[in-house]
Amino acid sequence: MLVADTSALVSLATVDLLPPVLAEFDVQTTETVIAELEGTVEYDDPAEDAARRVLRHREHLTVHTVDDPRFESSRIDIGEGSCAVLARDEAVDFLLTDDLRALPELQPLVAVRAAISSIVVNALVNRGAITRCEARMKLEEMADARDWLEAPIYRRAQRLFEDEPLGSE
Amino acid sequence: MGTSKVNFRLPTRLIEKADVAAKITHKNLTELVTEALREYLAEIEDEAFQEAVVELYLDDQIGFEVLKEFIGRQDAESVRASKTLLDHGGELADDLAEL
Repeated sequence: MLVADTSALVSLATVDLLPPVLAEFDVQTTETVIAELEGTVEYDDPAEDAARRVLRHREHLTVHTVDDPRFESSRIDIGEGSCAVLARDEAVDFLLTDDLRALPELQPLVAVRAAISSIVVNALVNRGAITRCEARMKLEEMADARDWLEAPIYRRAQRLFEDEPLGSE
Repeated sequence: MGTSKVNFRLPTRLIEKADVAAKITHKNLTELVTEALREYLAEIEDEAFQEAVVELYLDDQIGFEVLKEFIGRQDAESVRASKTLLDHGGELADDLAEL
């Protein structure tokens, strides 16, 4: 089971990978994350389209109510905090986040391993849900959508698929 | 902040001008060069530069302490945590794929 926060869901939706991820994995999230996505749609945010796409797949997400997110800081927002609480459930295998700035503070809060969407892309390849060439292109798209701190991380993740020239398959 | 002794050659004319500037501004040559270097670094440290610094760290060409000097502690910690995930990306992806 994966717990995904707003950043991860939006990131996967931005590159149209949410449907295969939801088909391959048991993805769970919180009401707080859903509220954040609804807010993104409402307020003309740059991530509006992606948030709308996530909400269209809401029935494929298991959504939990977390009454007391507890964890909030300058880097961890209330949605991420609620996911950290949910990820304390022993049935959870991974906490999925694409908020790299929150990552160092989120990791110590949860006993489970954290993953970013580049790792999910890799897992989709391992499961045969997408090709290596598609994975490279999706990671490139992710990097293009990122800022100076995050873009190099997603570009670097493409190295796993470097033997596949773009446009092959 | 610690200091290190460096040894490099500069054009003679530039040194002469710097000596005059040092006299006029009542600074020594070290202060003048330090100030000029700080201003230069501040000027070139745009987002493309910071991105290049992150890439050097991901390539293990600079260490965490140098990365921190350029992008600040919090962002450096984010890059370090992300790099750790990337370095174990294959293994994490295998475990994830097996769920």
